[in-house]
Amino acid sequence: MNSNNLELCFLTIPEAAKLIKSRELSPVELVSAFLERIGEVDPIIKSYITILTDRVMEEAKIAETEISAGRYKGLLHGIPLAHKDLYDTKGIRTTAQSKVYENRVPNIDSTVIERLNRAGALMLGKLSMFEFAAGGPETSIFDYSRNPWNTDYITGGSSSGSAAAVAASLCMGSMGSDTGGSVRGPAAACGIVGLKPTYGRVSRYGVIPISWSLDYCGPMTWSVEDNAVMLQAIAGFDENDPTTSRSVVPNYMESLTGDIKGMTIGVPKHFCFDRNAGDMDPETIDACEKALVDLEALGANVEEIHIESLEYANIANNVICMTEGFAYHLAGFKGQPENYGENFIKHLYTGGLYSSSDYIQAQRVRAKITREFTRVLSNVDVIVTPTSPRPAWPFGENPAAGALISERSFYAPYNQTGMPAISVPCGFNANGMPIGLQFASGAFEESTIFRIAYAYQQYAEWYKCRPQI
Amino acid sequence: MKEDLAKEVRILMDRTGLELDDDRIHKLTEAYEQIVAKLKDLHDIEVDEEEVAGIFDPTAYSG
Repeated sequence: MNSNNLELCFLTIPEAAKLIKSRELSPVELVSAFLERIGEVDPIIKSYITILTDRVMEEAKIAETEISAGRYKGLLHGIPLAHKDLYDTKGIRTTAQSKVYENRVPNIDSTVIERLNRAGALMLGKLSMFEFAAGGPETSIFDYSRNPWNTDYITGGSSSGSAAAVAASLCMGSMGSDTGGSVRGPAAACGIVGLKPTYGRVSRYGVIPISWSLDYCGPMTWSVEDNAVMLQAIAGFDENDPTTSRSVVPNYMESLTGDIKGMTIGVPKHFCFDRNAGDMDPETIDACEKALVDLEALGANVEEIHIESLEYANIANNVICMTEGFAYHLAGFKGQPENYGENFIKHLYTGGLYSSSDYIQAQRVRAKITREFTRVLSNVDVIVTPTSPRPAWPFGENPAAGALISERSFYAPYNQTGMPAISVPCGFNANGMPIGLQFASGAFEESTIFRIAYAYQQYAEWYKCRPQI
Repeated sequence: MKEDLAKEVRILMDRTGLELDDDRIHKLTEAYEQIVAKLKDLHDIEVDEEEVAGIFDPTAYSG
């Protein structure tokens, strides 16, 4: 691949948009560069299930014609994206990376895809994932993605292909989904930015569920500004999803000022920076503590806070997730169990073991967690933690069934409370694997977390490091 | 003890209509041992007057 084409693949969305709008860059040229890189790199990374070569080139030509005629639609016009194969795409196979849906071709677009199309975005293809957004990397169909920073390491999941493709510059952004960290975890593991928005901010219509009350659709991107651009296009009420909110969608780009002077950051050190906890990686704590120093240098006030419910958010999340997931898949388990992968089955069958009193107690605990986080966030602007207790690990260390309920999770509180949270890169461990930092805030405060995430990104400059692949 | 748990797992899964073989029940029983230990923790959490979070919109079923 020549260096000019590689540079095109490294552009942020606003950088590419500026060139496209001024007609210094054609969408056809941009898509061609990505297709060339996918052809060279994806046989190693294995992030794509479906590559829409002919279709995306047609889309690019149409975008070029529209822009040339003065009908520029905005920052996503002519921008090549690719999405987790969980999003229904009209006329394009959508498998959830399962043999169960091997030949499933939806006749609708999910609302998110429809809105991205309307904004002029192009679709390079559909991306690999953990089967039905649960289980582990090995699935009943297709290969699993490799981490671009070291292909012997996992990408994290379940939005594995989305994280790998963005990190390897095989698309300019991707929609993932997050039920217990499935956007933020792989984003941290692959050194990119991943947002789980507020519950109700983004429609789930046309996205294959795992847990109706815990599923979120979130953008995964190289930079914070790319993420803000994508959220802007997809956020807002949708009559097809009664859980979406009618609250006004702000202009997220306006929050990217770089100024966080006077912002108050709460840090629950008792749970998230506990060096005595056996499941906490010391290098992760080191990197995140350095980030706190950086945030203070930017003018933020860092305060230690205590959140008791962090201790049990993951138990409640697992009971709810597995129970709802089991209910959704029960008909499939009865009708075609042989078409599900072992990893998925071994985890999801546990959902059949919980009683109604377990589920109700988990939901009441969820309410208690939400109340406590709301109280904490009345005193601080954001809560900062590591995204994950440890960076990515080599393939072959998959958790046993039942073990998930015992894990320390910094993702689960926000799936429980519905509050937004974002992961941004904050360094690397000695093995060269990325480490993620998580910012979270109150409901519908995406602007607040974009503001601090962008200021930190610009100060720390980890986004300048690219995997050598 | 393990036999009792396996019987419980068998009853719970039979109740859902899934007909699982002994090998699958054995694997699930291992998972169930871990789950049961954590469920006690879950039920020990004081939830005061908290209600179940949820919504019901009767108009959502009209179409």
